Amino acid sequence: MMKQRLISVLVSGAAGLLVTTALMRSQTPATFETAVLPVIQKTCLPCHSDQLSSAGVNFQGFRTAASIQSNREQWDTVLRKLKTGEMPPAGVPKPSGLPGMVTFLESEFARLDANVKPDPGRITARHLTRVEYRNTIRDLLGVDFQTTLEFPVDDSGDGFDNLGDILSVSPLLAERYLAAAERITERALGLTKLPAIPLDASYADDDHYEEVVSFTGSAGAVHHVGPSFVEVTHRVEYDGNYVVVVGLTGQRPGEPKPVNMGLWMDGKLLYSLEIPAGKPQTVYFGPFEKREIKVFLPEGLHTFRLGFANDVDLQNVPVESRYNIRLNKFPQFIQFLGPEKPAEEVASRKKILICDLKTGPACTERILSTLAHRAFRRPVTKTEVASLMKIVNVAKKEGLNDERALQLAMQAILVSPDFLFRLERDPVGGQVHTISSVEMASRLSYFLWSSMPDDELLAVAEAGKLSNQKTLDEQVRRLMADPRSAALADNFAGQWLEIRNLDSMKPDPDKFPDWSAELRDDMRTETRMFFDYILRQNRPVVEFIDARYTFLNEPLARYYGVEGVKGPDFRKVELTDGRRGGVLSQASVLAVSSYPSRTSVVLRGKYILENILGSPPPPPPPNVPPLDEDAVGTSLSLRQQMEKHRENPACAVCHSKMDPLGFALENYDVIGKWRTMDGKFPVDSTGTLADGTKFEGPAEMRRVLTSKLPQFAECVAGKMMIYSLGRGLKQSDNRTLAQMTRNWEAKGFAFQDLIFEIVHSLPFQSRRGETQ
Amino acid sequence: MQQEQPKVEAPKPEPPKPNARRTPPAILFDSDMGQNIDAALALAVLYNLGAKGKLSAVGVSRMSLEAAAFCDIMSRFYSGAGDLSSPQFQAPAPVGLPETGPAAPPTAMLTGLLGMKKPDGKPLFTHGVQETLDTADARVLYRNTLLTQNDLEGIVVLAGPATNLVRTLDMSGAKSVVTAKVGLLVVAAGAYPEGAPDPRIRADIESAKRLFATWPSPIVAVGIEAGEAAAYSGSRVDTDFAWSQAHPVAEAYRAFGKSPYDAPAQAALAAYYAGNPQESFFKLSEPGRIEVLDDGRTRFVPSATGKHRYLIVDATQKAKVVEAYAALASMKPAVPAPRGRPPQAAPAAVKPLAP
Amino acid sequence: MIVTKKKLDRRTFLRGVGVTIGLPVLDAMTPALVRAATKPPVRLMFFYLPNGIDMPNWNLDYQGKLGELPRILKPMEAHREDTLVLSNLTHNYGRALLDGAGDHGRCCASYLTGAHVKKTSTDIYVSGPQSMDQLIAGEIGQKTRLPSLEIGMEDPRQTGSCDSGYSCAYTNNLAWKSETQPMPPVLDPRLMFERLFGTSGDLSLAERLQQQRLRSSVLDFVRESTQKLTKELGTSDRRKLDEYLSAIRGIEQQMDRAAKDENPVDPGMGKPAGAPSDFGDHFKLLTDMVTIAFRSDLTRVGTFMITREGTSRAYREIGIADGHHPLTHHGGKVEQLAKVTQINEYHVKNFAAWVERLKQIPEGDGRLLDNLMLVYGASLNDGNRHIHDDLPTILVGQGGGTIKTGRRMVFRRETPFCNLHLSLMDRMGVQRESFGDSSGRLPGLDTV
Repeated sequence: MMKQRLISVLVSGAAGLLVTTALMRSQTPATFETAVLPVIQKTCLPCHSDQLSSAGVNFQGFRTAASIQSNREQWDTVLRKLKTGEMPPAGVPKPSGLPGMVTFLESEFARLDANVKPDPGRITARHLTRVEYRNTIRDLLGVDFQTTLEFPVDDSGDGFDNLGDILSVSPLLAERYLAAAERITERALGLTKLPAIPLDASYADDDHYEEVVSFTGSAGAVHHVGPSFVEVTHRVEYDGNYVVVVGLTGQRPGEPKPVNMGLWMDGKLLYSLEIPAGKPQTVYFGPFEKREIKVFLPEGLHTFRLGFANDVDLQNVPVESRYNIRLNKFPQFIQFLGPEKPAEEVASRKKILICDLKTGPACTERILSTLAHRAFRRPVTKTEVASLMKIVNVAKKEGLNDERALQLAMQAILVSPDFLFRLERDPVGGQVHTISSVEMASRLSYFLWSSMPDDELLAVAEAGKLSNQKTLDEQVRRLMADPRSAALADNFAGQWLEIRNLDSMKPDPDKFPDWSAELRDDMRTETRMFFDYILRQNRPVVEFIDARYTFLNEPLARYYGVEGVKGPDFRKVELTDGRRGGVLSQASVLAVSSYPSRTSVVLRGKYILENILGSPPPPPPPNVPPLDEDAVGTSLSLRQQMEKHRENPACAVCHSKMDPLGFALENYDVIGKWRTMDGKFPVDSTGTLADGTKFEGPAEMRRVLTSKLPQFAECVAGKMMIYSLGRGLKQSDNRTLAQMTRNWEAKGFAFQDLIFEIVHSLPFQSRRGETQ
Repeated sequence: MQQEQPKVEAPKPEPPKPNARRTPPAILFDSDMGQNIDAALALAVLYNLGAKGKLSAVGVSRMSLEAAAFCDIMSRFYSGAGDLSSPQFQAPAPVGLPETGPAAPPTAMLTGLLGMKKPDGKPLFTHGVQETLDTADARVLYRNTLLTQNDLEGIVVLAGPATNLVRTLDMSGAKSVVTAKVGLLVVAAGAYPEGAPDPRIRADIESAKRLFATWPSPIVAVGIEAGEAAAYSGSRVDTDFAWSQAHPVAEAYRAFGKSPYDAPAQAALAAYYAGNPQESFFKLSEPGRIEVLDDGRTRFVPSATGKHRYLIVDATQKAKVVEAYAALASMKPAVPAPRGRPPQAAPAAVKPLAP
Repeated sequence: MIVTKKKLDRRTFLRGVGVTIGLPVLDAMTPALVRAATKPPVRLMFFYLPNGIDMPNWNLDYQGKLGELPRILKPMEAHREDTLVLSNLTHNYGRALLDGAGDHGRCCASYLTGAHVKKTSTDIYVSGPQSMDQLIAGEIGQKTRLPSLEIGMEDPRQTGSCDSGYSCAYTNNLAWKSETQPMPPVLDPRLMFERLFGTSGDLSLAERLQQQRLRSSVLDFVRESTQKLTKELGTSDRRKLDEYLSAIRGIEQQMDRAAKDENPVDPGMGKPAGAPSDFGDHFKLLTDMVTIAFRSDLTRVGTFMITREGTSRAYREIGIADGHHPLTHHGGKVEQLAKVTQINEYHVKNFAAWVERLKQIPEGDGRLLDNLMLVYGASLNDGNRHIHDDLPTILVGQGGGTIKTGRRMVFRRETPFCNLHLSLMDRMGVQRESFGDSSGRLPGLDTV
């Protein structure tokens, strides 16, 4: 029956189109008075008037053709609401003149825009974000510098953290830049002075905590992620070789088999060791015997996992005895000792020292001009290299050796504004101009890679070839194909879908015991890979809303109740039942749109309006709680609760938009697990949209959203435009956005085409100057 | 790639958006409450203006807790929020009193009204003004209130010494707010085109001088002569306010003097005009300048560029005028629906954290 | 069933030679104060609470001398002699005025700036032109190694909208150096440690001086290239670079001041390993460093954002799994309200514990606390109804004998919160006619 409803909706839509075209062909040209005024008088004014200006909208000032020009922004909103069917709301009869009004407004806007010259807008200079800085350092020097540990957060607006008008360099950040430059250059050249006495960091679980503290002074916690595995988050202070001491207590009765003990860092296996069954048969080695592992660890905060890979014996241990050291053996203690200087030379050092410093200043100069060239993402001048050499000489005079002198000059490069800032020169007199080919290179690389241009892109740019669309498109294609374009999944999708907030999620452990760091990371991986696939395979954008596939590994598959996925690796999995499909059914999205202890149809509804349909609801008035779902599952069903909430007309206006969408997702709990009961009430996932469309359950809602594809596409396009430019959208961008979306639609909404549309758009190609 | 590059100059700043939400104009009322009954009538008029004006701040131009208490009683009476036991209870906005100044002795009207008791011995009218701390510094109250208004939509009605208004202008940053927000000042003080000194002027001649000399908005003055022309006749009180067993205005009237007596209605006229400037039965003088003389008399000097006018009550219209403001003053208020939830008592159940 | 092992985490300090890890930009130096036998300076710090307070459990029903304190303030009873409770202070600019919803965004941004901030999610603007702490830092900051200290305890919201049309910059930051430049708080005790004490205290004076000569050569390069650049850029771009340039200048001045000094400050504590997950541990680490910073006069003014405005942090530490902000919109539900009360109480408990430690510290011929002004409060009264008057505020310390504590002072209704700023600025030696929407100074702070 859902199908029938859907069809009827489509049909009526088609009918609307017919009427529209009919009107367009009608002989007498429509005027504001004939096409718009009647509808306003009859349908709009009753609610939006001096007396009661619902939602703060008042049409009194909107009764003349002139007002279209003077209040264009509000008129844009009016048109959007009419087209999306939000207005007139359900219950108010749709006037016959509606299609005519829409057509007239569209043509009128087009006519007006034709007279206004397009404004590409202007991107304010800004410093690299934490992510961009880290990636740029990685690509420039081959050093992984964890900026999240060192720099203050980048404030965000419009949901993105790369807006020039918001980012600013605080004294704190400037201090950190200087410190970072010293640290990074030392690491890159392998010059770090390691401490004389090795550092000692110990981690233990409850059983051994006091014991460990007593002989190490302080200890952190090991986290048991399973009866055979422990995990610690440890900050490695210096690149270098470390001794990892593992405490394996406990014993296993009977004839225990050997186990393979492994050490993983951030998911990568570093080391594994076959531990034979010792004598006597009950114990592998002494109750507090240790094993020492020697490994190279890179500086930074890492998640280490330690445990038995093939722990067959565990099956023989009853679940409740798995932490009983008499009946089982499992790791409980880890200690990091070090560092020692690694024998082999650091890779980054080889990369930087392209010549032998001993051969004299010429070599130093060569190294510096090469680095500066890449670091500044533009050709460097003789004077710039000269002033870098000046620093080298200062260092020499102070008695530093060649390498230290070079390092000091490298620091200067890393704190130079040409490196730290995204800068675009203005020609004198602030007219609109196409940005230079070299500036375009950085726009491309930071858009698609969140990093600096590579040598090829920079070369092409400096040859001025990026102004040739064919070359430009080739480069875009190349950049998208490169692994570095995964940055789009992390930074664009991560912010658009708010996945970044997963890290701060703390679901109530009592209500949601399934939640764990691993599950959280798996959730993130699913969405990342899903986005990455749509991008790389140039899939239709609609698959974000509904797709017959996703990416799972065994734990997540089990969590979703999907059969036949084995092993820790993620792979593409076909979805057969209607439970999952598209981002709105992915645990990551469902988790970030919930409260720690309960789901919220309002939060989820709002999430869909904001991030999928691009029409965020106005915020709730003060002294009305954003939502009132507390008794849910205990005294009242969520449905009853919300109905109560909506008795208040002030609430009803918006909640009638949000709640139905949220209700459709009620089959997923706070951390995205499928459910049919909420507390002692069966889940009720039916909803009716403002335009009267009815649906039940996530699958049907996805189909309804699919029918709103153009609206979704424009939403994504808008978000990506903000992200690609690093500025909020102005009214003057609306037409670009609309045009882009139309072109994209013509090409069938394949995802990569959006990226080309953006790269070709006026705002991305050029900028409005500013008088100096 | 953009083949031909459109040449455009930087776009002009977007035009200011017309404020979509239209609210009734805010009215500030500053008076020497208690000195004359007309201020009480005026207050009643202002509370009943409905869509024509929202009484947003009430202040007293002399340091009188009793006067503040009366204003508080009125606001509770008209907001229906007076009864602390009612779930709708919300502490009413504070009443403004001068920043500093000697306490003014309470008048019979105030002491009488505040002394009235219910049969059970409880006060007839509840209020929340025990000490100066329960009131606001009028300057701050007026400035803050005006900031919530659309530009030039604010209306100020003054029926007392100009002390508070002038001090408001003197407060740092406040004059620009007044200039931006106030569209009209109605002053119920003086005599026009000239006449005997008005006590409201004489109470603070310096401030009166500065008010007329420096107040940024246009001023319409309502003189003693107008107030007397359209006096409130004592015979009306019992019938006008009969709908309420205990109406603070009616009680104030009785407490003020031996009823029935006719009360000059200077302030009430000003209040009525503030809500109905277009009213046909009012006439305004030609534009000019109002000057305050050292002895407290006022003089009107015609001038084409002047921002001041005074109100003229045409003798033939007298009856209409009185009927109009009296009807409004004695109108039965529609108690507004409460906003939001009643504040909850703190839970007794939870035990505090261990220290 | 699943058997899980709970985790504890008490590894708060680095062991081994942790203290010399990392390369500081600056080295902490004992300030002039210790040498000069002058009157100790007054120091000021704001402790900011988000989402308002459960007022029925905060408000006193009496004025004057402090006796028994209501539930939330109970932990301060031990320090009532050093505490001043202020009532009826109002922040009118936190109100909507004509800007509609977004009280959280406004109340946080206006708290110290005294400004009604621009409602925008893309081009932030605070008509301050700066927050009062930065105003003070600008005037007396050059006397200490750090002009001011911005501290916080919660990772700011990463993405999504923060409060109805207000950029996250408004709810993530308290201090504003200029109309467009917020001062982000340091969250990680380890970073704060490096900021305060640097880490090459073990270098000889000669080595330190050389290090500084080398660093200045780098900074010279930065200054030159930045100045050259600004000529080629538009005004708004130039503003961004000027921010960087002024930060660089500040660092140079700090280095000069440091160079003049002989003996490094002994932190008297190990270098923190990072930010503990437990609120109490985290708060203790940070406040203990504040103590040292004040004690050795490394800075005289600061802001401490206990959590960001509008936060939905859950407080497992006291068994509260729901987010703070959703809880404050309790709609009068007793059990939700109870959790809000517990959170408010928990914050005060930790703060009081720090005050207890502070009281032990001597300075001159009195206590360090005698010369402090610690303002602890929120920029919303009732978090459910978003009320902006009678902001819950207490002041701890005697500001160098200029504040009579041990009582509750009630001011007239609508008294601008900025009047408090003006009075505090006086005590910091920064006189102004007015600040924000002040109508004057708070009367009687120094007289009983």
